[in-house]
Amino acid sequence: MKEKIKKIGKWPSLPAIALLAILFVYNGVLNPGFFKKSTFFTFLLSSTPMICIVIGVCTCKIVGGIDISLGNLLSLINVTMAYLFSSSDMAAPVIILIGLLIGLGGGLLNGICIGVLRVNPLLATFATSPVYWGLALWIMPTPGGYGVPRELISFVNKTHFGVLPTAVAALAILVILWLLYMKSIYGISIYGIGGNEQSAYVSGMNVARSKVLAHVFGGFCAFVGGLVATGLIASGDPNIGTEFSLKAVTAVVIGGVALSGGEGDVWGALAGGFFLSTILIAIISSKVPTFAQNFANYSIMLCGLVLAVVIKLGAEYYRTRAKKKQSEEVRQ
Amino acid sequence: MNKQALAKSLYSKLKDYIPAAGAIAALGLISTILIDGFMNANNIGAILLRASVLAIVAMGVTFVITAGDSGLDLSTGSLMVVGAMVGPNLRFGGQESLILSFLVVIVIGALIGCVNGVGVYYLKIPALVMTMAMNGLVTGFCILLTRSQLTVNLPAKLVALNDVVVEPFRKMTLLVAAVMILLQLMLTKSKFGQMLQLTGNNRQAARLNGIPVAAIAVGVYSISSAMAAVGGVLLAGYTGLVHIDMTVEYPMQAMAAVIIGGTHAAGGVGSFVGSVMGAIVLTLLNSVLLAFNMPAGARTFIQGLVLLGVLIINNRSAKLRQ
Repeated sequence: MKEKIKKIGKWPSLPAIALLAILFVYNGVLNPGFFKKSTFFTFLLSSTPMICIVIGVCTCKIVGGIDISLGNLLSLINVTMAYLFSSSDMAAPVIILIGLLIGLGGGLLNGICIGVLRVNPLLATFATSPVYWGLALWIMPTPGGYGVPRELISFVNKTHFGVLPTAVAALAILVILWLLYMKSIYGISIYGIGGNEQSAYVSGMNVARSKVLAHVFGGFCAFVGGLVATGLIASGDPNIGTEFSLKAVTAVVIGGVALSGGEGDVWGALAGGFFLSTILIAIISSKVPTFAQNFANYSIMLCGLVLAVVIKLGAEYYRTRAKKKQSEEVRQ
Repeated sequence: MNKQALAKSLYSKLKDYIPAAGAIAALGLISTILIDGFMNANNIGAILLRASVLAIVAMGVTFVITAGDSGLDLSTGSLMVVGAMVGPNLRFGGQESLILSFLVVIVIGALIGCVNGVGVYYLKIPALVMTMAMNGLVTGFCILLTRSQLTVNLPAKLVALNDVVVEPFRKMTLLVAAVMILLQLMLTKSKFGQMLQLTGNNRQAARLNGIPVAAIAVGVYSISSAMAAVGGVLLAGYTGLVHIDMTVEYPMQAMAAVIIGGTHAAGGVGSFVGSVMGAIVLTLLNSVLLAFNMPAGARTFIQGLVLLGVLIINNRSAKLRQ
């Protein structure tokens, strides 16, 4: 029992989950309607596109890299699908398939730049980010494309089998895929490479392939997010994902994924992502005036960030001290 | 043999400038041949004037990137808003004084930047996230203070910075050029420049050599923010008006300019001349694409491709086998 508690205490996702719980309780007290089924499901659905990006960024971060282009890739997928739905007579499945190909292709481009050409991951995705955003703006300079089929809209906004909203279904699919991925040899090598790239290479792991695969998975996450977003807003918006990228990175850091890679898991990232999307609701239900909302939002975000990081640093300090004590006792 | 060695050392010194210089030459050639009336003194002057605002911000970011440890600064946009809000409105005993305005703005910027530095160095928050959050926080604070209604009362001396000295150079361009030369000399000749480069190369080695790594790692963020605030004042003087989202593009553009200018992402190797060249490349590219009537999306797309190309040419890390 004690062992188990100790293990949970070492779990890097814990601070993020605690932060999320605090914010949920705050919301629930201030606004009892928050936990009503319909309100809560709407909240889940509206934050799903961003959370999809969070899962993608989390994977890229574990391998020791980062991806700040996924938000714009999501915009590109959303805009392309909305454009094709409105002004071509292609069948809906074909259009969705094109969206999937764009997602995988974008991920592949990121992966090749980072894994094969060995460009710094942050800068590589910093450069592909305007490429995707520019394409999205080129296709659709202003929001539009209102020809999204009704079936898709109602499918996304529907609660399946009475209990399973699309938001939960989409995230569950991604999380299950993520867990399967991490159980496979590719996932294990991701943790190995994130921990120490040089020794992973020396022990025969295919570093380039694993990195490319991680970024392609990120691209797939962007596709799922883009599909949900298209159903959610029933149109295309070239700026829909712009702010997701950096928010997702923040969420992943709050979620306790190690900065250098090789540590952390999807649960912390999810909690971090929901923490960020709950902040705005908490601010609105606290009746903060409009012109102060931005300031309040970023203050809470920064506080969460600092808290999560300080807890982590404190835990590390405590652990190294305990280890030192132990070794001193052994010596005596 | 001696000649060869000389050529080799010259090449290794200048090879980081090749992409930026090549891009400027290519863009110059394209615009001269294909666009009528693009290459006249007035137009060049306007481009250099616009580039000089970006250049001063980019030079600040160069400090951060050169200090290494995957440092970067995305908070420059909000600092520019602060500079543009405060600087032009300052009066000292009813008198306008450009130098005192700049000093006040530099102090405010340095204080805000210090928070960035403390978060990144001591709390070990990734620079990307820390500076992004600060950007939102400071912008939010400006909105809170002014309720999005900024008034600006431009001093005549600030507006006079747009005047032509010698075609195609305006006063502001020459000012930024002077800053560039001073900073480049500081980087290559002074003790602080050497310490900055060593800190970027290897923090542990720098610490063992008695270099105040903490002070430098925090200080570069202060310098970057201070220079961004100065850039904000210049931008207000250039555009003649101030609004809260006029600087949204600058953080990303400044980062891109620094990278195109050949500063290494891994830190330790930086160049202020390169960053200014990068700023000129981006501004020139934008003007050329505008002259071709390209829509905004296509311009962004091509800028991204150029950046990606430069990264692949000169910013790749070593093979794992080595």
